[in-house]
Amino acid sequence: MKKYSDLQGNDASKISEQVAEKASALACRMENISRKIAIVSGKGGVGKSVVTALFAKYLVSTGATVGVLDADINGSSISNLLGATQNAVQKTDNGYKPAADKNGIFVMSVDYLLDVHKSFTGNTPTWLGAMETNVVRELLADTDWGSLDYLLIDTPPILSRVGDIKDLLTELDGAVVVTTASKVSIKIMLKTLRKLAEMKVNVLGVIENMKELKCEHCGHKNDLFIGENVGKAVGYLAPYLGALPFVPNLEKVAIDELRDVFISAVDKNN
Amino acid sequence: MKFLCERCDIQMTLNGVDDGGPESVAVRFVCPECDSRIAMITNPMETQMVKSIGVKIGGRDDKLAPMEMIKESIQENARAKDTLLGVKWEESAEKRLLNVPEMARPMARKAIENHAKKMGYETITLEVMDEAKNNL
Repeated sequence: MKKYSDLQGNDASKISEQVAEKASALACRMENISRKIAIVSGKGGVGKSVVTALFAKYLVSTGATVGVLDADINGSSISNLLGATQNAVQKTDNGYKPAADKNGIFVMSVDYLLDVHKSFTGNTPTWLGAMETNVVRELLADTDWGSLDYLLIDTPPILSRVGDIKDLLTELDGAVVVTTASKVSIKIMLKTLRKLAEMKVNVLGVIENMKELKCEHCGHKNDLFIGENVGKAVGYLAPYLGALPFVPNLEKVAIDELRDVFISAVDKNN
Repeated sequence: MKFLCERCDIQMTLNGVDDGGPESVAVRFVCPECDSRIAMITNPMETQMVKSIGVKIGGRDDKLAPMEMIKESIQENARAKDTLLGVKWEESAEKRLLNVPEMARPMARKAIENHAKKMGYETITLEVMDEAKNNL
């Protein structure tokens, strides 16, 4: 009996061809983006999306052109956090133009295709498995990002999804890991760092989020998590980039006060 | 995939793809020598798997529009939801539902849909919503 390789005719399914074509289209789209950084956490609730939004605001304040992809498609929040809910994405001959927030950050999220900002009915699909990866691929490849200095990718709080994104973006420049100082978060953060090392993802560093809350009346700062030291826990596994306070309102945040944390991430990337 | 005609020991050629919907695709092959024909039928899992990577067995004649797979899955979800409960929502009813706090909205939606299904209504209107509220 002949083997597959003995049959000289083309593969009738043409699946391999189509997959290769999609990969090529994605690579083309990413060519004019200088740095692609994934914002990662192994668990939800650490404020990863808030950190992504703050990082984007910092980068744009330095004069960089910045795009943000909300890859957490089953729990998307970036368009709300950046206040880019009044804008729509525009379909053009070259794909979809992303929405832009008032700071000039370009945002792409499934929320725009679901039109949730106008009428959220809860009747939205849940994408799982290969379908989820393919939705992220479409969002990346079919958005007309143009030329960007940075594309930040807000990933879902599931570590396996980071692997999928790394498979899609073979030239991912790095990942920033977000954690809080709770025992559980630190434990999962350490697991995340080890997994990222196995995946050969370049970890730019760890950001400790929601370290403290500043009283708006007296200015006193209170630690939100007592007794755990994230920097010490991270140790030699990755650079500890610093801590961010709990930010109740992104509109009112003084981004200059947070620059030290994000400068470290950008420097590591250089 | 490639198919071999055992009788002639040569590769069969693709003779067509019949889209049987979300749960089945028939991929037809013919031997160019002896005209033997087969059809490979995919099961629901195989059909969904191919669909989920955004490809079509046999290739595409047309180019996929941007975000086409996302938009198709949104439409399918809407159709499935309508089919599952057999109820549709009028636009005015959808708008009124937005008055319910976000956290409680999915529960409220389900309660109203269950009431509509119980009463045999096909469409949820403002009146149906009032009725559901009075019955809760």
